[in-house]
Amino acid sequence: MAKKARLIDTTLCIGCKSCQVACKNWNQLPATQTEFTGSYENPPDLHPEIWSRVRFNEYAENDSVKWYFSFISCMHCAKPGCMPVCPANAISITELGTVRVDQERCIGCALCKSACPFNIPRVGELGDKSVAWKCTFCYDRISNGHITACAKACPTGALSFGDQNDKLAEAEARVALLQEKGHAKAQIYGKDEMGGLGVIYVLADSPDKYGLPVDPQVSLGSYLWNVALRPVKFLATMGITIGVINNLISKRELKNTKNRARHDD
Amino acid sequence: MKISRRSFLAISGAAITAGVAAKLGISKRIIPEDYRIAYADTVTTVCPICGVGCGVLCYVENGQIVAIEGDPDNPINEGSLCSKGSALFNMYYTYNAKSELVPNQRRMTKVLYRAPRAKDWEVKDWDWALENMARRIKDTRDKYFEEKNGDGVTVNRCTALSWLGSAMCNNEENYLFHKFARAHGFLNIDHCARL
Amino acid sequence: MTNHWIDYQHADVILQFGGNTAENHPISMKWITKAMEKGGKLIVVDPRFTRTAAVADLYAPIRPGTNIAFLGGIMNYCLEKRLYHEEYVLHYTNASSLISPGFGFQDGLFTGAQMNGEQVSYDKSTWAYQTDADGNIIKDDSLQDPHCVFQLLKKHFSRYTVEKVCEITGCPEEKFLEVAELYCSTGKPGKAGTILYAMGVTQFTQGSENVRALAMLQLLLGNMGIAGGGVNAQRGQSNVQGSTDMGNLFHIIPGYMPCPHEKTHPTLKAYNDTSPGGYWENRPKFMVSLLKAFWGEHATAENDFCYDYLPKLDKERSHIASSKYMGEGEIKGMICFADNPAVTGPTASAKRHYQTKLDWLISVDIYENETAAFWKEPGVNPEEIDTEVFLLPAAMHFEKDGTIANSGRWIQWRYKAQDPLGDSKPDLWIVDRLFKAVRRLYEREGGVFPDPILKMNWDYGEEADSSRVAMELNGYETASGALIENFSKLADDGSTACGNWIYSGYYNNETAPACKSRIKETEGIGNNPEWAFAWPLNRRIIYNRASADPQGNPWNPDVPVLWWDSIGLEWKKNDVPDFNANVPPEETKYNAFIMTEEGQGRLFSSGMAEGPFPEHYEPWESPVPNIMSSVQFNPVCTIWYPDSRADVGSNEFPYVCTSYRLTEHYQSGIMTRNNPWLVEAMPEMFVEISPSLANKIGIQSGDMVEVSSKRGKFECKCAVTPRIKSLTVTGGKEIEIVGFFFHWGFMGLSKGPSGNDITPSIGCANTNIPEYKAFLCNIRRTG
Repeated sequence: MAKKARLIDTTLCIGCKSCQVACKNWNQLPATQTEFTGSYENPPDLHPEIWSRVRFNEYAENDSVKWYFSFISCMHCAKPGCMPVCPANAISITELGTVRVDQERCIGCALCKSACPFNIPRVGELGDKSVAWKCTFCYDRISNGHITACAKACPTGALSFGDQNDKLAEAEARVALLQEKGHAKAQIYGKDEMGGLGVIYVLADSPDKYGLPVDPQVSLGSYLWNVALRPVKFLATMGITIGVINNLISKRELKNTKNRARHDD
Repeated sequence: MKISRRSFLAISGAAITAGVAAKLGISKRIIPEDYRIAYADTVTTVCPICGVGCGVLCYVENGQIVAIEGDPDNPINEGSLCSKGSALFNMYYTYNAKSELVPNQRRMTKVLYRAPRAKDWEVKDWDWALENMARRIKDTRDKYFEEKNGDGVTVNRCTALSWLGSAMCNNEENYLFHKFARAHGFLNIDHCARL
Repeated sequence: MTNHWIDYQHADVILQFGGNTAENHPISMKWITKAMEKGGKLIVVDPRFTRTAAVADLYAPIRPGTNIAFLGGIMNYCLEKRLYHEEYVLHYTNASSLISPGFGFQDGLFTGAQMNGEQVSYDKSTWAYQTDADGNIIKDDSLQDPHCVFQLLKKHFSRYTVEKVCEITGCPEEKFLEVAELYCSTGKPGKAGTILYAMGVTQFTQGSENVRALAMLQLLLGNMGIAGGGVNAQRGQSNVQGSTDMGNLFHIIPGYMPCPHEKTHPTLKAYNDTSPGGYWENRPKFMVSLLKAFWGEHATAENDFCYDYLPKLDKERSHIASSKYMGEGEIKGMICFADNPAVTGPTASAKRHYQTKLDWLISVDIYENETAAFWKEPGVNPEEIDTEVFLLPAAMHFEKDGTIANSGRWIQWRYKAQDPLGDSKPDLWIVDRLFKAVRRLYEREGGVFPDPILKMNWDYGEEADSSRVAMELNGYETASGALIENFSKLADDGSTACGNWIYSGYYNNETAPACKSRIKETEGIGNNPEWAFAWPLNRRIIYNRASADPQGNPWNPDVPVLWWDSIGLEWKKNDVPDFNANVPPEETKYNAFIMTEEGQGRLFSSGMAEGPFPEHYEPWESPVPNIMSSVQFNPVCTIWYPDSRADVGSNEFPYVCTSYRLTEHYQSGIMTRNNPWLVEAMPEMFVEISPSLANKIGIQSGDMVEVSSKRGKFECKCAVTPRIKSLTVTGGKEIEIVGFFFHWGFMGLSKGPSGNDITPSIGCANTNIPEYKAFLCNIRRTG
């Protein structure tokens, strides 16, 4: 089956957060408690119950203002940093090119999070254990012939879904058009990064202006962890509980999660 | 009525990966294989928020809304919805602390009455409320009704009554509001169109 | 709206003026994006840089309350540079009509001003056409006569020079010129410009004149009646179009007919005699049919069809007025369906206090709202409040069926998806049962003049059925009960009944009523004539005769609304004609605007309270004197609370305050502040200020501030953002703007202060819509 991709044309995005809410709607994710800290951007971070969100980037340039909105979620990399470091071998790539977490195997160690150059997965509770949570690329929808919930909801077509090749071609045409219209810095993001992302961006400016890493890499620390954990990984695959590691690494993650009281009552 | 997220999924025809759910005793699942609303009925309706009039599809199973999305056949929105439209489901159902799906707990489900100087509501039934409201309306109307003005012109009005209709109600409802109000002699009529 | 949402795709230039479509009507951006993909340009004029501005081609700032200066400036630019659509202006507007030589304008006032203290009322006798012996309007097709509308218009707006306009509005000159040049490019035949507006032009003491200025600009540029054009009011609520159509306002009854007034309409004959010309000469048919719908067989020619049963208006009774009467003790009982004035009304804290004067209050809502729970407000002692309150649980929108009308006048049917929760009931059920309960009491006990209630035609079944109401709205023959096709069949002899003439045709058969139709267009220009029903007569673009030239050739053949086939000798259509299509085009070329008496678009109108041309006055509360004349603010609006006004240029309240909305919340917030997903996305009330103001008063983003006005104060968090900038205005004065969201109140999942506690209770001279969008305030740090 063809690899799928989301195309985010930031030049069409109106920051309405439709994608962010549609994600919660389809994936049945409870609301979390947030607070206003000075920006329209909320929630401020991903969370076990928040798999996607919109960043609001505000810049004053001479006499004008730029307000760039960018959708952030799992990038579904072709060479995901999270996959090789997982000590439980819980992360895989599906036939549609989506990055999948097998929560039955997952031990909630959060190594995937530290290895991810985009800082995407979040560890949270699942029954009596903790596991990693992130965007599934609406696998239940796309494997049944539907588009992702975020793409369906998007009012302007800023967020669309389709075969990766088609979306890349669309992005290239769009960037060429923008450059022709005088947007000198218009560029594609996600074509080559991490072996090619499942989320391709059309940007009007440099990636850092959208909160995206200019040259995403798996951190050295994560790589070393990976080496150090190789024996543990072996044990984990043998089905032995690694409670110590689980405790050590994910304690802080869980604490963060618990601090956010459930908002609905 | 409470439906747990798990039974909710079950009634919506989604097969939870049996092993995972049974073993962990939890209702959450990730990477479901099935499209959970594949067997739901669809009911076409229109978003109640702004004046665009976006088509909305309610997915219904066993007489209950199980999902809400944009109506792809509606030429105005072609299936898309804004953040408020995408959140419509939460107006009806939310999740409690155990992640169970429950009706939005803030919804009004009972007739409430507040007596003069009372510090709280009392729950009442419809018959009591209708009888008592009708009594208040009639008494006020009878006391303050004006058949003719100072110049002898027939005016048939009651300026002690005030009505606020609503842009959130249907046309047919608004029409009956108007009939109700004019029949009783209301002149103080306004609503959110001016506010 | 004269046009509709999908039609935006045909615009060459979109002027977002006094609205914020990306945030408040996000799906509109689907069609604006389509227009932009075809090369269309989006202009945003707004006091702050909004999410709409973020994707616009051109953004220009404006000081709140200076819309007429800005638009007058564009009209002056258009006239001076001859960028208007000459043929359109000549044929389709009253530009060539001669006005009474006695008409004039001096120092902010038109002729006929009668001083009434500081305020004026107008004797409009000079605001009239010159007519010949037969009563026909005298015209000058050369447009040169100094008394013709065109010359008067030019003269009036010649005072709106670029320098003056920019001094008043604070818009930098180069930005203003860019806007004027780009928008006036749509004056070329075949080009389309659309204006989208919302409460950012209506909620002012000059709200109606602001809208009129928009319409006049559109007439000059030939943008009315065409695809991709129009004056498009973007309605904020899902059925505010329909609730207004149904006359839930003190001054009208269904179908935009005036509410009978004790002075001018004591009898049905007097009422009918005041019918205006144009298509409105049919009004007696609509009125009699309405009375038949109301009082059925009891309404006969002998008793003037029960005309006496309709209450006669005595004075202004809009929300601002009736709230005042409530505070004075005149109003004893209030019924409030799905409305929350305790949050959305002007000077809302005072309004909540006035409610304590009520004997009883009936409120119907889906969540507990602030209006019903006013006695629970923090700081209020319920033991001192005698008001009885009934709070009734309403069914949600998807738990009942019926229709709503969108901004494009499309009436769409909503089917019920599930049963109402608990004891909640549809509003239709509630109003039906309440009516029957009152009627039973009158039947049993008698009472004061019970006839209008006892004889009312009210039978919608044991469980009120919305389709039965729909059929009454559509209209029927009284003898047979047969549904009528449309309002052209209505009569003034009692043979027809119709609840709302403009809805006639929307439910004209029981099997497949038009409002339930769901057939998408496969070819055409996006009008989708078989999707739902648009009033009137399923017409999608109003005044569409003007989409073609006098000979019937479309101005833009690529997007023709209608065109005359000179071989087949008939009109070809993409829409329902808004004119007599049975005659050749020459016969309708002077009657493109059928609802006006003269059949033409009015560049000069005697219908407004302030004058035939819009004139800039400052808002009621302003930081600067009016530099256009010695008249400071709208001289004809009613002043309800003279003591609650801050002085011009007040030191105590030095900043301009304005209100607006967020994508994530809605109106009084009842539907969104109780929605956890939306509360997560936008959790709290806040105000927005510029970095320069923040610097001046020592505030950082996220700090707590107190915002105050002459009428009250509130405390909340503050956002400091470059999206708001100070503006340099009159005399080089720097004006800072404080913006707030009006969605919050003391109930609900997300609670917060109500910004409307500080807004002024003064309204537009024509409609009394409150001036929420421009007043004076102060702001200081509190934490």
